[in-house]
Amino acid sequence: MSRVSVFGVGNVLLGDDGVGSSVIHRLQSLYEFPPEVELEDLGTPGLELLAHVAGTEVVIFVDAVADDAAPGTIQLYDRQTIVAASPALRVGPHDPALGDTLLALEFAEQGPSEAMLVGVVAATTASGIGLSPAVRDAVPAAAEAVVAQLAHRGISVRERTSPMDNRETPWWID
Amino acid sequence: MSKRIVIDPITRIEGHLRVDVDVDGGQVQKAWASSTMWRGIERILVGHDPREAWLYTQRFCGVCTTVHALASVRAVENALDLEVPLNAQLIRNLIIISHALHDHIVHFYQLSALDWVDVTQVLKADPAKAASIAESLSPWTRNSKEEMKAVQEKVKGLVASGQLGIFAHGYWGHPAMKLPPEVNLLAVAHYLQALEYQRYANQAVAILGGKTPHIQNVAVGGVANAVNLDSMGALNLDRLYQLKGLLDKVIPFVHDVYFNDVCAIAAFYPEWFSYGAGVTNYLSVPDLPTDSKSTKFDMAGGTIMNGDFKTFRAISGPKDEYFRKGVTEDNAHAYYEGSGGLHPWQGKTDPQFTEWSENGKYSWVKAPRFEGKPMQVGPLANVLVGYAAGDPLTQKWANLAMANVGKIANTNVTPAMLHSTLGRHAARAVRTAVLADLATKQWNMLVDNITKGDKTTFNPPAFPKGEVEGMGFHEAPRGTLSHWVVIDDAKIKNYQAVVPTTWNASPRDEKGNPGPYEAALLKNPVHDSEHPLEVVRTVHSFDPCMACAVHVFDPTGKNVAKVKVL
Repeated sequence: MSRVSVFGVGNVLLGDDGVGSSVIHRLQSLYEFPPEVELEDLGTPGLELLAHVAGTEVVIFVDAVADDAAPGTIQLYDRQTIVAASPALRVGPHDPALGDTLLALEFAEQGPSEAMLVGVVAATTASGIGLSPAVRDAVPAAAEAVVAQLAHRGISVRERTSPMDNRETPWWID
Repeated sequence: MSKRIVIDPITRIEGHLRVDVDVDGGQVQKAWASSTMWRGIERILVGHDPREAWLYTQRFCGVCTTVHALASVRAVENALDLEVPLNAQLIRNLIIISHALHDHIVHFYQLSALDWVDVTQVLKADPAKAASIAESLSPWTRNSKEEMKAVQEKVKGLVASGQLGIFAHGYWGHPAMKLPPEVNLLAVAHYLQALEYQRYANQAVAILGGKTPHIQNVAVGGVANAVNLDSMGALNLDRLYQLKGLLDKVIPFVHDVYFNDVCAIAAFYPEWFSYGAGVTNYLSVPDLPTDSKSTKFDMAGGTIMNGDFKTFRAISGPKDEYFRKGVTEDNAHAYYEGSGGLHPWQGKTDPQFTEWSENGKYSWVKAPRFEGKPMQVGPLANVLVGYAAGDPLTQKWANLAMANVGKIANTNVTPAMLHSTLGRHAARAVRTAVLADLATKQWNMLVDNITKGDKTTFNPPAFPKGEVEGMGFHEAPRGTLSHWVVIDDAKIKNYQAVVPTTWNASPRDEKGNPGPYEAALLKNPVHDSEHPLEVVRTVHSFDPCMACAVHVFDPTGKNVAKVKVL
């Protein structure tokens, strides 16, 4: 089982909601990761997240968030904030699945010891493919934030000399 | 005095569901189901290559990725009249079955069981008695007194911590909760075990599909899996036995745990066999094709009208005009232009948003109709249609479920009682049990076909000049799904997906006929309008593919309480 999982969540057909998938694509395209790191674009798995999060030690989610800050702002949320189920606090569009998954697995003693969310403040989640300019411009920094979080845990990644499959943009954006 | 309760979401998972009910005299008198988010995703597909449509459609809904991928390629294959090699059909079928096993287990234990199971009562249970009840119901080996004791300790720890964690939002102590402490304990023990078994089902999907949640192996014309029993990179015997190993873990969990739990819980709530019938017109399409032309199926399809088995009419396959001509979508009360029913090939998705208006437009969900009538889809439709069609596996498991519930509740359970909130849960367990049997059957068929030397998995598609129309259907975990495509010169000209939750969460139509959720909620009891557990039970019994929250409003519209109800 992987030690660290980096999961992009969000819907690529709903504007900025696709930012998590875009960040995962960028990471896979530009970097090589050691085998203990698993990267996956999970889309909007709801409770299928249980199957993916169970057994990991550290999980880093990347997702669009609704927040008063300017679109494209990158914010880090800790586990406690993710699981805080107060309806007033809307951490991410995929709440409550993130929080519920962590709580269910904690009760079952199958959960990660550490969880965090790299959030990118969305401008629009209207139906349509592609990110708004502010969010698109934030993708490299969000990817670097993930790399920094891995480095912080002693995991170093290597930059590829050229993008994997020569595809810097994901298939759904073409 | 009538009170309006609004169940409205706080967050978004796959679109919002909002339910408004008027409660008077302790009963729901009127109900409206609506979706508060515009999807309109089909419009994105116009102009795309039909061979790639499945990549986009599997992003419609993250919970049902595989089902939208498969319905999409079936629609395009249907438009081209393209046969699908038997290996590909069987590989797809095993993905369908594994996904459904995963989905139904998760739905029951993670989403619905807590509408019926009171976690706080677990502390009062006698673990030895819980174990002996469990052992009387099932040969499952993980029902020991020690296992029950350990689970009870876990719950004790959670309660002692002052925070209920994952269980913080249940209706604990609600007067409508009626299970004995030992059955509550048993259910929580199996809730924990379910977390483990749903993973095996998910891994089974990944073995065939390459990964989850977005499978990689689908193609118009078959599947991309190479079949070669001797090759490392292909679908070989090693992988097939890995798949069997996973299925062999999940199958007994379904037959000995999930199925029995639903029967046992149902037996303590017999009154819920009389609430929640609603629309008793049922639609289910045939699935799990066992030939390359999709004319023979392991699951029967058809319609039943007014809850009367004598009205059963079969749907023979995707070419059957009864289905192809019967479906329309009506926008009279949906936030789209137009009103009367349009066939999906002529379907339009042009938004016309107004305020929520109980007599006007109030939902982003269109109202699908079959020959002008609202239809209930989902496991109950699937089981009743299978039962009426004389499918032996469906009859075996449905009869066993009715006998088991009857024995525990000391009453006579008849097929007519399945038209209910609890009937939908029982039917989902029956369908899952049937699928678990079919998993073994389909696996054997695949291995037999491959060992005979058939390695074909793909027929290349060829697109004609001009316009062709296609329809692909799939009996998904939440019911009948159909994708409708119009292709012009090898490009998508129109695309419509008529999804299960659209049938069930449909708003009223031009004639004012309510959809299944709306009709099922009528006459449901509501003990406490601030904690409308009964409303949640009926909505959850349909397995809506949405997360929702409850806001309870007083008649002046002031928000007096908020309760999350996932």
